[in-house]
Amino acid sequence: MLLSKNSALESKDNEIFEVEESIAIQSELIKTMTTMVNSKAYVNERNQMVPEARCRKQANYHVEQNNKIVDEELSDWESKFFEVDMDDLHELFMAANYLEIESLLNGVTKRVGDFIKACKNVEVIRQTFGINNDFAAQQEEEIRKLNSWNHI
Amino acid sequence: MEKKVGRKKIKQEKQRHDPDDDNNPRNTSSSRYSDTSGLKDYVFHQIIPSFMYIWKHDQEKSYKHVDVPKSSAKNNMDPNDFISHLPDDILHHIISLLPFKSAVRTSFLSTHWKHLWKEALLDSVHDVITIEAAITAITSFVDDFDTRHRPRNKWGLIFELGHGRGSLVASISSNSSLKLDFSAGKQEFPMPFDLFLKMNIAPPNRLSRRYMFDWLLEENHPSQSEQPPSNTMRVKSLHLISVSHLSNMAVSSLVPKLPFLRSLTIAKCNGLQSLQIKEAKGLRKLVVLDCPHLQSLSFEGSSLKSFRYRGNLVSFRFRGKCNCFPLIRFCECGLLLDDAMIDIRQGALTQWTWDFEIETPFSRGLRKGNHCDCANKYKCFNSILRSIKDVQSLTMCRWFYETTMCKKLPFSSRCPKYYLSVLELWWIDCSMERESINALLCFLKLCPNLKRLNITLDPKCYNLPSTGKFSTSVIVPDKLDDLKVVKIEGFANEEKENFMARRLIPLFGENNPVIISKPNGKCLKHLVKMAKLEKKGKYPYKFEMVENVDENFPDHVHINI
Repeated sequence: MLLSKNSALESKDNEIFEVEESIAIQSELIKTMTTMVNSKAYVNERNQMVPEARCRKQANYHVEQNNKIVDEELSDWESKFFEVDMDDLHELFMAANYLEIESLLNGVTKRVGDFIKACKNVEVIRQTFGINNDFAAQQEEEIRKLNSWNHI
Repeated sequence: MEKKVGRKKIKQEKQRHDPDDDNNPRNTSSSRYSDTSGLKDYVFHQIIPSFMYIWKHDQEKSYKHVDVPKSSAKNNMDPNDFISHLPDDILHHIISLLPFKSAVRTSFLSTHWKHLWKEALLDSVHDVITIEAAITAITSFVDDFDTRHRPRNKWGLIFELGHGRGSLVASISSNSSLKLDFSAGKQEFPMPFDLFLKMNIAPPNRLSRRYMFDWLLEENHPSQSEQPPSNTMRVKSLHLISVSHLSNMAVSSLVPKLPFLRSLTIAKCNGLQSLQIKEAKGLRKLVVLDCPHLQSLSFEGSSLKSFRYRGNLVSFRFRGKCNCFPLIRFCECGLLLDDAMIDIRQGALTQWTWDFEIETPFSRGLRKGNHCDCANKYKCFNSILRSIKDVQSLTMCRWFYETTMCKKLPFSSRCPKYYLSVLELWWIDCSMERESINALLCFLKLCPNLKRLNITLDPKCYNLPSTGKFSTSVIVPDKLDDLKVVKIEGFANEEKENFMARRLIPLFGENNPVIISKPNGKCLKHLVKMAKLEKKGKYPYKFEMVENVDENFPDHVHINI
């Protein structure tokens, strides 16, 4: 079995993760950086500072995500993986956004979408996500009337 | 130096047309990002400066990394609310994953979300500048709208019409309704116009037995021969919002192209003076709301079941055309409404009529003729009564009832000629003085089957000074056997609520009176019988705040329109 090259990623709080290069490349950001540095020669490579405090947790998740290659397991695992609370979801979002990992972002987006779908009405959605209702009462009334066509 | 060279920027500066939100600048960023951006800056400048020049952005990437901007302007978003801070592209993605109804509902969440669904789900069209061309584009969009295989999650079009004509938002909902919203345009001085809609509705299924004789008399309808393929959208309801003098011609040209229309809604059309709807054979539902300059409404159709109106009392003229073979005695033609909302709390125009001819000469025997001798049969309650005879969900304003009540109509001493089939009633008044309560109780005598009663007091409602018509006729109201609940809303204080409750309790007869009050805002109070008060000999009923909203008593169907 070929030894895949490992890249070492350092996160903001100075923790170093060793990940297989093929996994690290899932992140577009790292991929671009790696290409630029022309790091193929290095086995252990210390790439760069990844200045995201959340990257620490995220990198763990990411690694685990990519370790499961089998499809059936993957969909099960993914649904469990994303059953986290709002704060964690938020961190995943930030990390996925920053590191440009498409599959992770899709997963989180889908999860948020499922959350919204599951909420019975607008008030519940607001409570779940902590959205502040900054409509004036009249505006709200107008919008409700404008959108009543959807339900009639 | 710009630190994000090459990164794709999203359209953060895009103007959203929303004059309401001028005071709430929307910004998808928050201060949370400022420190990380700064650090990134440091990193990139110190450690990887060379990358700045050679980072290329891959245009074909399906995933768009979006630039999370630094916070600059103030915003009204809760710092704990992370989802609204997400970049717009991601929010669009989330919205596009939702079913259509949920997606439209997100516009209620906050001012930031108000227009996101439109950006996510509607195609923006920029090269169309006339309304007529827009209508043509909409028609072809509808024709091509394949309900099962839609390649992209696009549910409509937004047209930016130039020359100050604003924008037109056309969206299709999953329940086959097409909405044309012209309201984003700036219309300072609404010019008066008349809307003339000639429907072209396909006749009902010709194989159904009751219409067997239809085809003998009916001319060849051009749309019958071409049935659209089954996957395409059949627009069943059309909603027209804020039609103006600029768009009325285009709109009238659209209507004949919707042969499967069952419901028509016209709302908020400033400047609309007269509305004429002809040949609306299959139209089941007509809703006209909030058209402040409307003076007359004329409808000619044969299967109208629901009519909902909010605005001034204008000249109504409804004709039920029956095309059935003359020998059929029991056809279903005619305007047999089962849902009527007559919310005319804004008052009446000087010239108004209520001209409902619901029966055709051939059907339903010979029960016609005016029983009342009053001078103007179009303003007499008798004719109104006949037109709402079979209505099950009714909204009525007290002043309308009182003003049309003719003294000659038999009441109290004799049985009324007609009973209404009303099951749920929404009664609107401006205040509940003794006389007004008498009027309500008098009306309730006509509603023996009533199950749910909603009473709303709106101080802005037109106030007809009491005419004293009802003072002698009602002392004790009849018991309503089926009455389950009465909901009252808008009463000024508890004393008035209690007064009302006292008069309403006899309606329940033997049953437990259920009266729910909604003074203002969202808390509900139930009428409770206090045993200890009863023991003391005092009036035992009181309104108490209730923790759980009782789901068994839904609101009247017209209340949230």
